[in-house]
Amino acid sequence: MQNPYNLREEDGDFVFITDLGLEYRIIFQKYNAFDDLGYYSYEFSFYPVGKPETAYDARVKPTIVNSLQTFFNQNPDSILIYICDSMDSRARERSMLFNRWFRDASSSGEIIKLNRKIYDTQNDLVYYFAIVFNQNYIPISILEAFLETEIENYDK
Amino acid sequence: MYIITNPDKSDAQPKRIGAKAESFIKKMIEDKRIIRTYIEEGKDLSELTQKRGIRFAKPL
Repeated sequence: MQNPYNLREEDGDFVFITDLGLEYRIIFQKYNAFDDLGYYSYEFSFYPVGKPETAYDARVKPTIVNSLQTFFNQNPDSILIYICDSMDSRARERSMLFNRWFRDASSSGEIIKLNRKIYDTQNDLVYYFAIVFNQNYIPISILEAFLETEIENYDK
Repeated sequence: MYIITNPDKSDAQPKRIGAKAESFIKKMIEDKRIIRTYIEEGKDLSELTQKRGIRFAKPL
């Protein structure tokens, strides 16, 4: 695997600059979705700054994977949520990309990912989201309590 | 109303999620869109903490 780019902190989030000069931001937003249950939760996202023409860059993947691994090393009892928006009709593609990257970030088998597809029946929109957590620290019952539904299948 | 299903299982039964989870997910999606717009336009993200109560964290 290629070397990840170096991350630097800037204005509350994390930034890296690619060899082609593109600037990416990695953002963690803290939510209180699981506070009642005693766990921190974050929504994770990353974007190129501006609206640049992006091209395949083999160092972006290890940079994101490295960020996810570092996150779970430092926050093993936190829950990470990744939502793929349907605004540009590329939610499914983003979800598949995240799934591939997740496999590299979870080589130990301790990190679990729940993939779910959401239908917004009111607005006829579809989203994909993943809830990622360390099974040694977070019981599945916590997520079932949050979603108020039983979770029968999940990925390792 | 939000209905979820497991996209990896063709026989998974769609289920309605609870109102609290739906509210959180709805807020996350709205926040995500606004953040994306701010980054595309090069705006200061810290404005969103005041405007929408978005809490940016540094967990790394």
